[in-house]
Amino acid sequence: MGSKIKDVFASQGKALIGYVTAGYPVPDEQFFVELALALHEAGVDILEVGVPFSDPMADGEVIQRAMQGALSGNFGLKRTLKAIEMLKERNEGLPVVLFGYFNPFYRMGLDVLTMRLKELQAAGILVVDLPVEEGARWYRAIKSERIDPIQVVPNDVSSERLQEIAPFVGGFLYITSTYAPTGGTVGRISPLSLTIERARATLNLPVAVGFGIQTPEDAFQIGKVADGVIVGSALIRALEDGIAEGGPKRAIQLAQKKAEALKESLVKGALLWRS
Amino acid sequence: MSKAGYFGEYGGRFVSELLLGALKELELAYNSIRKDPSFQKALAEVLRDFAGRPTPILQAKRLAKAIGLEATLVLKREDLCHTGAHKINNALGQALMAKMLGKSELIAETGAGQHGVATATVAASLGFDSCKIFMGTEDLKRQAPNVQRMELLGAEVIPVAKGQGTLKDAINEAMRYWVSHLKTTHYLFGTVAGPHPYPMIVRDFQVVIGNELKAQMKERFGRLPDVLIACVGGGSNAMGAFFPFLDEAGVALVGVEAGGKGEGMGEHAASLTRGTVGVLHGAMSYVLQTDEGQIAPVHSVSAGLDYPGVGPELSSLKSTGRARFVTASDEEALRGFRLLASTEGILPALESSHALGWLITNARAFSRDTLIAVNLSGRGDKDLDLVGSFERGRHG
Repeated sequence: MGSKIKDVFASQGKALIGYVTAGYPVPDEQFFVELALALHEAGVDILEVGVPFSDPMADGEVIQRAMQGALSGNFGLKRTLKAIEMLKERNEGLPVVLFGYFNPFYRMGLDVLTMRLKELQAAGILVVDLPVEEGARWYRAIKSERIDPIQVVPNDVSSERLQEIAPFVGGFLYITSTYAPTGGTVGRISPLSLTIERARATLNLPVAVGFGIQTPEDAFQIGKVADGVIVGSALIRALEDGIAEGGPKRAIQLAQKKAEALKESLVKGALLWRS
Repeated sequence: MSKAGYFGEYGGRFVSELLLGALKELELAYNSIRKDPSFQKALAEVLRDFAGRPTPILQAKRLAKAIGLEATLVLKREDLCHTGAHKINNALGQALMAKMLGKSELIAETGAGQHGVATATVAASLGFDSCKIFMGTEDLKRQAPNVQRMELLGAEVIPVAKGQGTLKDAINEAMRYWVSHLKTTHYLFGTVAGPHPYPMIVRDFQVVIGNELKAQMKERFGRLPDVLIACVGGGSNAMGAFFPFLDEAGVALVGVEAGGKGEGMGEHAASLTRGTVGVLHGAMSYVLQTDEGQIAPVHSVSAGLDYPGVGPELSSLKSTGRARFVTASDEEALRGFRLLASTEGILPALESSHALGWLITNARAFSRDTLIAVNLSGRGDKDLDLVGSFERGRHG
């Protein structure tokens, strides 16, 4: 009955959460399925699937490029949901979090979207620009359908704010390593570890850190203090390198390699931290 | 949980948690500063001594005659503001506030460049350490004289090539910069759109237009206008002009959007007239978008109206029927531009020319005893190249 996402954290200890923009670098549902399966095999425990949006205000260069690329291939929300459906047919085990900006969701209709997410057995949803003040009712509704609303908070989030969002958060808490758009450099560890402690104490949820995690060293350092890391822009860069080197197959290979290296390092950090 | 910053069903604060804290801080600061008599006094002084307020009203008899308008036509001369448009009102207000908050850097987005020039100007005159203006590459081409002005004023103009390279994309990029520099930087937003508290702040700083107009109309004509017309892009000049008249039921409010070159998607920028409700740049409002919720491409001959969204308070005025929203095409705007120049000796901004263009087309609908006021939001020197190339394109 519980949360698929919490189960993952409970069984893995440290979770690798991979982000990809649906429809990029190849605007094709089948490509997405192959990529997701490969990432799962490489150690990605939870997959965040980005819905392409024309104006990704909170994202840096890499994810902007990915979203623009997908949209040029006519890959929007409907095809993203279709791709997730095809993935479900091949693999039931990889929890999927739908990631996106509010307008496409609002345009589709929140009730319709909730129903689709239920059909797809989505594990969670992350809406970048829907703070709990605006999304309270819907967040409650999806929570009652056992879909986790993931909330993203900055590295200096206060206890008061954590308490305010507590009724509307599920799965894990997403803390950004820095104040910046996605895809920059990783923030300093010391203030972050205090925030993580505070969040664990307030919310009783696993805590994962994202924004700027590019190298195995980053994953290692974050793995020492957090329950998981989120990697997005770095995977997309690997995909782009692969396309440039040899096409879609190579892209999947390089993303897989990147995920493997990050996972290995994350686990190593966790072991050291425990000993 | 209380919902801050709504006008009816429109508005709100649809932003990431990273920006939310800064916006709440800004709201708190603004609410205390607005009540501070020393702030209001300082603002009144710079509006008078630096911006050149109050701006006059002018009865445009020759234009009225040329277009067959029997009604009395009055222009509110925001084009006479320092820097050439109403944008300076808001720039001064926000910059004074930013000073009181201890910010050392200003950033702003700009479309036509008028808001960018206004921001660069106040940054220079109030002594900010740095000023960055984000401007789409398409607009950089269209409004080259304003780019040169901003640079002379000491601002750094940052070209934004993403998306369509216009105002919307400049806002995205300014927001991305802001989130990484919150402590030192005030984002001097230029219109009544965006997340709360911006629609309220920008409107409050532009209300001076409507307040002056109200007093001037009473003094000159002994009564309020029957019709008040303003162009609408994001909506700052319209909201500033309309707001003091909202409770005056006898004053019809008309907002003129950019009808561009046609009714198809990508051919116009008429968010209220042809859009649907959605979320862009942090506010629930009318938006031009596709069936799948992607923000649509837009077109207008005027870079200042070339925006797929609109301020939430204007959306609410549409819903309640308090204001009426119409369009003027590129052609109609250009007709307004040329006629005002040749009959009254005033070069209007292409944005303001839309208000004139609509009036020209509909001149015969108004009777002799009607009193019409048009907010002439800016001057058109910046648009000379654009008008020239449009005419060449049409005839060549």
